[in-house]
Order: sequence, then structure tokens, then C-alpha cells
Amino acid sequence: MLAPILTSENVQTVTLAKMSMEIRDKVRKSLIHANMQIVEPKGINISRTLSEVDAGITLSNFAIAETGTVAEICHQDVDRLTSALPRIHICLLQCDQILGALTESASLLRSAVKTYGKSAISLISGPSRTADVELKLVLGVHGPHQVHVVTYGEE
Amino acid sequence: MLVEKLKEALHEEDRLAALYGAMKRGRDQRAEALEEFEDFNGFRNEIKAIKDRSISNLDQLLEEFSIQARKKGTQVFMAQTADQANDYVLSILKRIGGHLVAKSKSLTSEEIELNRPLEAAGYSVVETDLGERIIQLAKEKPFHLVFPAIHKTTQEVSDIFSQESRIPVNSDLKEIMEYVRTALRDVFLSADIGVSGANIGIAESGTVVVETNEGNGRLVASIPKVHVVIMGMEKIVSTFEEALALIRGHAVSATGQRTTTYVSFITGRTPLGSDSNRELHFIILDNGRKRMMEDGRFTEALSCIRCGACMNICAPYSVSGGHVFGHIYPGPIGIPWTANIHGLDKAKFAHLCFSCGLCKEICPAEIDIPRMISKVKEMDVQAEGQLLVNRVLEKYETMAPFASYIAPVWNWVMHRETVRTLMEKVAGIDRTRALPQFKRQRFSKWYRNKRQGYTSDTSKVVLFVDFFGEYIEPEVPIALVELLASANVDVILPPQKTSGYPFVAYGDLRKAEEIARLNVTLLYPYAKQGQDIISIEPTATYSLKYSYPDLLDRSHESLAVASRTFEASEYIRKLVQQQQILFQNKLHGKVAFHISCHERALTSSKHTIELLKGIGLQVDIRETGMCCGMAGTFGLKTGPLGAGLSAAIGKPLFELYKEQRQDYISSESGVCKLQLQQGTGLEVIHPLKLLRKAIVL
Repeated sequence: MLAPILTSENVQTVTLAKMSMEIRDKVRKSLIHANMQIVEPKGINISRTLSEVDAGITLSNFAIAETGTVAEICHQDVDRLTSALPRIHICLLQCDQILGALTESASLLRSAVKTYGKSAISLISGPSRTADVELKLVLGVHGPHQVHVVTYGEE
Repeated sequence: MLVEKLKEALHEEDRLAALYGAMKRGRDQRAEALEEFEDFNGFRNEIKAIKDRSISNLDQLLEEFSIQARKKGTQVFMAQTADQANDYVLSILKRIGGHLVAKSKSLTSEEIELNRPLEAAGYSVVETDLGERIIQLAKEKPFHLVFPAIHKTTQEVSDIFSQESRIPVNSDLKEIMEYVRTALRDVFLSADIGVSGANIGIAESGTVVVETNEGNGRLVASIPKVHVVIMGMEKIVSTFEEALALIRGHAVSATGQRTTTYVSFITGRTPLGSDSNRELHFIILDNGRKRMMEDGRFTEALSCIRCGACMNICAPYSVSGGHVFGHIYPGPIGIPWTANIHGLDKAKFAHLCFSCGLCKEICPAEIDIPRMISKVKEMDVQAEGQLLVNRVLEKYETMAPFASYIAPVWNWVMHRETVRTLMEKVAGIDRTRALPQFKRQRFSKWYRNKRQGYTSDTSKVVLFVDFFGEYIEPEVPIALVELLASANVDVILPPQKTSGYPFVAYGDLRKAEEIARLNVTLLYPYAKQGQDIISIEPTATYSLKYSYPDLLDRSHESLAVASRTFEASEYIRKLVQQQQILFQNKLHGKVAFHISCHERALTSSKHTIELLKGIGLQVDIRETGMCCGMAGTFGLKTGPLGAGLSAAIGKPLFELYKEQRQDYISSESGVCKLQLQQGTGLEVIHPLKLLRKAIVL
């Protein structure tokens, strides 16, 4: 599923945020098979490296049906920037992690903050956008121009 | 100064058209999003309850928020003044030896004008929100709370960026975005400090919520070594549940989205790679907020969630814009904020408000903005004195008994070119505006001689007539009396004054209070006996139900009168439903109907519209969504701050009536009638007169 999206958008370099070894291995395999270069950001220029990558793949902790939102709980800003800097963001979402309404997420947010202390949680609802000029909507400003949510697992 | 600025703004027709279109899109998108809520009042009540609760527990929430934030390693600084907040940011820059500050949108940083001292000290500050960046390069202040550059056309924006980059950026939104992404990406990557605002603070965990659509908020919060959040103290709520309700409210009310694209919950500073030596600072700003909280007149202003909806519905704002109708905080809610935060002398634009009341009706926190604006006007009038023209217009009603007594002469005199020129010169009444024509036979005179003949089981209702019914168009209350008579309901007309609303509109609250007290005293004995009071003029009904209790500290008497007051239309409709009034003659054709502003606070003419349909008419509500522009007596004043503003506001509405066909034009308000008749050249008929045609006496 990943490879066709990336290939059709001419993606050459990809970076992966934190995810379980099992999923990571699967993702890596399909990327290597599609001839993608996987970038591992390290050192003092992490942000610059990430900024030059074509696509970022992240794992969502949960999603919200009402608003079409994916939620990412991060304790490391490399993961946050993986969905913030590249032009294309692919978000993996396990099917049974979808809530109905935005307001239902309160207890998940609370427990994430309680468990991890320092954290950055992002609720992401589509590509970055602005209507600042003449109130006309344009997609793609500072964040991704495209967001793809790929679901997996059983409903 | 205000008048000159306004005059200039009224001449910029292209800009006005762009602003008008943008505001309309804003209102439409919001309305569309709200349709998904089954219960708009429930949505408002929830937001209002959360804000009220938070403001009244502010001290406690502030303490909990700080403790929790510090536990996560966040440095919390309470800034009492703008200078203290600015100095704090400067001290961080000095300590870390940085030079570049990347900012995401923060109205609070605009409030304290943070960029000025930073730039003066030699640091570079770059706004990264598109709208903010545009006005930063144009060296302007925000034109709108949510859309700071709403007044710039695509062409102007491309010119601004072309000038910045010295290479041409085409006047194409996609191309502009591409330029902005590239130019600002380097700023994000090299910034030493990221500064953002916060939409909400959550006390239970010491978390701030930052909402952006462009994605710049996430970048300034994660890439630079130091992230500084500047937040007004009123933004703190207790729990995640409350925060989520506000997040939904912000998006729906500000942009008509279901949620803002990026909502970040930031709790302590997360590491970047192996670098965990990074800082997070919360500057919690007072800068006059505590004082506002303690000053009962303005406490409510702190419930503002900064959605900007009030400016999207404000007619004077629509034709003057945020640089005239604003200081740093623009629009209706900007008036109490400016008066309290930046000073009364910066809040002169309060006089552009003509008290239509629509800002309260659209506000998701149900803030009584008009009430606070009238307080600001009062403070200004007390400090600077009242304008002569406002005094004359306030008095206009007190001259009415005399004018009516000599009506033919008065009307003739008032038609003389020379008299009108003189009135314009001396008193500031615009000579091109049609003045209401007085009738010799006042309603109360007719009433004294009215035919009896009610049967013995007649019930009675008290009538509040107001200015237009008494002096200008007695046919309207007469139609009402006849409609009621057909159901054997008699009318009691106790002594009464006209509503006195102009005193509220012009900030003479003490005089308004006098009239309120007098009318309440005269009506209370009836209310006490459980007698219903019916009122024809929407502004008068609004006064009886809402303004009087406010002016009289919610006294028992004022509340009793308010609770017994009904719109005449509601009363009539009840009688129709009980089959006591029978519409035997059916009328045919289409009525183009204008809902007056104060009706929005009542029932949006619901009962009248149903009644008109009931007599066979097709009702076509024709609205721009804003005030028609006459707004009481405001439009009678000469110059930009009166007739000029009024005509500019009315123009799009008049077009709606001139472009389409209709058999009748109708509105319940006497003032809207004057404005519509003069603007369209067509006759406007009161709905009660149409209903009268449908009964047989």
C-alpha cells in the first residue's frame, strides 16, 4: 500500500518515526523493495536533514472519526518533525484505534500526559492550509501538502 | 482623527468589496458548520459555562497550572505588565546569545508589541503565520483577529513578497505559498527561539494548547532550542474535557472548520535527538486582566475565545476595517479590551458602534459585548463630553410631543432646504436624510377616542407603543388594537415614555437609567398583577426585556416587567392559534422581509413570518446578515461617522431589494423602514398593517 503512494508522488527519500519493530520491519521492507532511500536523522543537523526528506512515515496512537483526525503522542521531537517537515506525511493507523468524537479523547490525552510527563501531542486533521489571503483556502503551507492515512489490522 | 480615518476608509471601494466578501465567506462557513450542531444554544452554553467557571476560579487555576508546569520542567513567569513580559524574552535572548526569533501567531504578543523592543535591541523577529508575515512586511497592525491580513488582495500580497525577495512572486496563491514555504523554512531551521501564543492552558497537567492551520506552530515549538509561550492569564481552564470543548468552539466559530488542522498539546519540553538540554517558558500575562476581572463592568470580556465572529457580523467594521475600527484588538470585542488594556484614549472607535447588538447574538460565549461598549462610550463621554449631534438626536424624542402638535408646520419647516442646511451646520443632522414625518393625530389621542364595544368577558393587555407608533405611524398600533379587538381583547395604554434606547447607543447611561426606571415604575403595577405587556417596536421590546434590567441592576421590578413583556406578534400568533383571531381575507403575493437587528435577540421575527404566511403571503427573507445601517438615529448624523457609514453599509442590502421583484417590502422596525425606503426608493409596510388587511371587523 505504501509503495504505490510514494512512487506516484515521485518520492525518493523517506524517514520513519518511532514504531514497533514488527511494523517498522514491514515498512522498511516495502520501501526497500520500491527502491526508496531511508534516511535516519542523526547528529546536530537533525531538523535540516528531516527538512530535505520527501516523505515522513509516522504511527498514530489513535484517531477521531468525527473530525478525520489522527493523534500522535511524541516524547521525542524527531518523531514530531517527521510529520511536520516533509511535504508528504503518511500516517499508519491501527483500525481498532478510532474514536467517535473529539471530546471522547480527553481520557487518552490525560493518561498520555500522566504516563510520560514531558510530551508533545499533535492532533492532525489533514494537510497544512491557510485562508489568510482573501479567505480563500489553499492547501500546503509550512507543513505537509499531502497526508495519507493507511489503516491496518482488523476492525 | 477617527472621522478622518473613517473618511479615508470609506473611499477605498476595492478594499471594502474584498473585506465584505471575506466577511460574508466567514459568516457563511460558520453558519454551515453550525448546522451540524443540533443545538446551537447548548454549544454556546457549554462554552460560556467553561469560561465563566474558569474566570471565577482563576487564582486557583493559575496556581495549579504553574505547579504542574514546573513539575514538567517548564519555567513559568508571571508578567504583570507588557514591559515585564518583553524584558523576560530579551533576557533569554541575551543569556543564550541568540539572534533570530521565529514567531507563530500570537495576538497576546501583538498586545504587548513584543517585536518592537526585540528589534530595537538588534534581534531579528520573523512572523511565520502567513497573515502576520504579510502585515509585518507591510508594517501594519492586524486588521482582523483571526485573519490579520484579510484586507490585502492576492495582488497586494504578491507585491509585498516580490519586494521582500527582490525577485517577482506571481499573483497566484499556489506560487505565493511556495515562496513563503521556502523563505520561512530557513527561518524555522535557524531560529534560536520560537515564540508562540497559546489558545488554552490546562491546569490539571500544566499543558498549553496551540492551534494552527499552517503548521508553523508545530515548527516554532519543536526546532529552536528555546520555546517561549506567551499566554493571557484568562486562557487557563481546569481539565482536558473543557479544553476539547473550546477547541471545537474555536474552529467552528472562527473558520467554520470542525477542528483546526493542527492542535498541539505541549507539556514540558521534549528532547530533539540526543539534545535534551532544551527550554520551555510560559509567560503568563496580566497586563490589566486582573483589573478587568475585578471591575464587574468588564469581567465578561475575559470570556472571549478570540474567534473573530463578532467582527464578521459588525456592519460598521465591514465598511471601516480593523485599522479604523480597532487599535491592536479590532472589532466589537476589541472595544472593551482596548479601553482596559491600552487605554480609553485608544478606544475612540467605540463611537463607530451603533448598538445593533448582533455581536452578542453571534458570540459563542454569549458575551454581552454591546453592554460593555456602551460602558466604554459612557466613560469616554464623561471624560470628553458628548457630541452636540448626539445630544440633539437624544433629545429628538423629547421634542416629539410639540412637533406632533404642530405637525403640518413642523414637517413643512423640516422640509425646507435652508432649514436642513442650518440643521446640518448647527446640529450635525445630515440634510440629505429623510426625517420621520410627524402625524398630527398621535396614537394616544386616537386611543382616547377609540370605539368601545367590547363584550363583558373581554381580556386586557398592556401596550408599550414607543416613538414610531406614537408619533410617526400611529396606523401601526391602531392596526394592532383592531386585530386584538377582533378577538375581544382590549388594550390598556398606561402613561409611558419612549424607550430611551438612543441614550444607551450614545453612551449616556445615566439618562438611559432614568428613563428605564420611569418606564419600569409605570409598568410594574401591571406586571405584578400578572398582566401581559406587548410591544411593537423591536428595539423597545429589547429595551424592556434586556436593557432595562441591565441598567437597573436587575431589580425585582425590572425583571418582573421583562418577564411579562412579549412581542406583539407572539401575542397575536397565540390568539390565532386559539382561533380567536380569524384571517378571513387572504392576501396574495411575495413579501420581501427584513429582520431588524434587535429582533435577532428576540425571535428573529419568527412569529411575524409565520403570521404573514398564515394570511397567504410568500415570505422571502432578504438579508445581508448584518445591520441595515440606519441603526437608530445613527444614520441621520452628517459626515462619515453617520450618514456616510450608514449609506455604505446599506448599499449591498438595497441592491437585494432593487434587483428582485416583490409585492411588498416589510420590516417590524421603524428605523429599518426609514433606511430601506430611502435606500431603495420603494415603500415599506409594517407587517401589522398587512395582518390588519386579513381580518374583517
